[in-house]
Order: sequence, then structure tokens, then C-alpha cells
Amino acid sequence: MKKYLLLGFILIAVTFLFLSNGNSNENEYKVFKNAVTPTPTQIAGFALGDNSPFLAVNLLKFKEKAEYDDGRETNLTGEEAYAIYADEVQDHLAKVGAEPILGGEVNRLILGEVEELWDVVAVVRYPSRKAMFKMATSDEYIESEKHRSAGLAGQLNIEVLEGEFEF
Amino acid sequence: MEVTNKVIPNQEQMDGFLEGDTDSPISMVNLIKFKEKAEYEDGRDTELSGKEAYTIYAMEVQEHLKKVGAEMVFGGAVSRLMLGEVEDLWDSVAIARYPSRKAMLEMMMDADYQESEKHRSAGLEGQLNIETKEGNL
Repeated sequence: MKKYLLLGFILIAVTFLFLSNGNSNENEYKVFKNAVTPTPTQIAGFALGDNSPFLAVNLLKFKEKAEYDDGRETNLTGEEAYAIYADEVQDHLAKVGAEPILGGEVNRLILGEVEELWDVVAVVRYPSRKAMFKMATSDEYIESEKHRSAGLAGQLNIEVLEGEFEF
Repeated sequence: MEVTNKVIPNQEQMDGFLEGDTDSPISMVNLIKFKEKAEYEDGRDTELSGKEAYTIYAMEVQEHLKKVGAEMVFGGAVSRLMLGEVEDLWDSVAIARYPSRKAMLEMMMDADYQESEKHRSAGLEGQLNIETKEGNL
């Protein structure tokens, strides 16, 4: 009986040590995964929440060579294929009242570490989740999107509510 | 893939301010994670949350930015991730535009900035700061 009690105690102590070690240590690795298509939960998110304006912060990583879903031959790089999408998407954005805020090539990371740095950061302001969903489901957008998924290895897309954090 | 947020740049990152193109405009994309409670390096007592301490910095930094010809593009609270997955989502995203690497370094070396920075490091658990060169996409 005593043996089990001791064992239990050690187990709790080890768990505690483990937990306190993992506590807000800035050297701690966090894991992230770029993606091309949203999860069902992420898609459902477009139907939730209020209809306020937001910013979509896209951290993009391109494929070395473009690969189209329909298997067509291409000599384009991932970046070149994505540039076709980026060009065409301007019209689609304007139609739902969205506007690009920033598009920039990544030079370097001046703080923090990532295993594989993104290639480009692009920020777009949308009037609402509904507007973004409307664009993403329109036929002409889906046509342009073929170039996006051909060129994109993966990305994070972070939704940000402007102004809530006061500057 | 792994990502590590930090409060202070490493030596290589500091050296980078003086390398390459130091004269062209850059946009700095800050992905920010706050501490739950603020902790000042001088050990002072505080009831502030990490976000509250950082907000003091964020307000004061406006003036420091202006002095070197830089400006905030936007700042906001992260509400969700629409694509991809991260283990621990950032709290805020802020983007500032600087006229050059040189200008940013000048701001960071300024004594007034360093005074404000105490609130930044008190509130910040860690961040990524991505330097981008604006252009056509």
C-alpha cells in the first residue's frame, strides 16, 4: 500500500515539474502548420460572429514549381502562378468592398525563429466575414483560385479585429 | 514546423540592421503574444496584465515612430485563424512602416525609446517580427 502511495506521489511531482517547465518559457517551441484549404471548423467560422470589418493577415509560402489541380503542363514557378491569382483577385476583392492594405516580400526575421520562413506577407481589409465568404464562393473567384492553389505550398491566415488593441 | 517567439533579437538579427539594403522602406509585421501578468525587469510591483503594460508601450511608441519618419499601418486583436494551425495563437498583430532599416535602428537606440520599451518587455511574452519589403504582388 505504502509503495503505491509513494509511486503516486512521485507521479504527481513529475507531472508538476513538467507543467512548470512548460510555463511561458520564451525558448519553448510552438508548432504551426501552413495550409491551402480551411478545415470545416474554419469554414463554419464564417457563419459565426458579428458582421464587423476585419483584416486578413496572410503569411504565404510558395511551391518551387507550380502544380495545377487539373494536371496541365506548366513552366511557372509557384510564385509566378500565385502572382496571376494576386493580380486577378484585386477585382474580386473590390466587388465585395474589400481592399489590399499591404503586400510585401519577406526579407528576414528580426525577432523570433521559424523553421521555414514565409515568402510573402499580404494583408487585406474585408468589410465582414460575410463579404469574404461571398467572394470565396463566387464562380469567377474559384476560377482565379486555381492559380492560387497551383502556386501555394501553404499559408497561415490570421483574422485580426482592427483597433481593438489601441494604438 | 516549429516557431519560437522572442523578446530580444539575437546577435545575427541585430547585425542584420546594418547589412544589405539599409536605406529602402520596410514594413515590420509583429505577431505578438502577451504575458498573463506584467513583469517589470526592475522588479517593481504591478497589477497590470501583460496586455495593459504593452498598451502603455504601444501608445508611447507612436511618438518614437514619428521622430524617425515611421508610422503604424494597423494594429489589432487576433480573433481566429482562418487557414493553417498554430499551437498557441498570437494575441495581436501590428504592422509599422519604416523609411529604412537605419531609421528603425535609430529609434531602438534612442534613450526615450528605451524608457518606453520597459513596458514592452514587461508585457510581452514573445513575438515574431517579420521584415517585409513592399512591392507588387
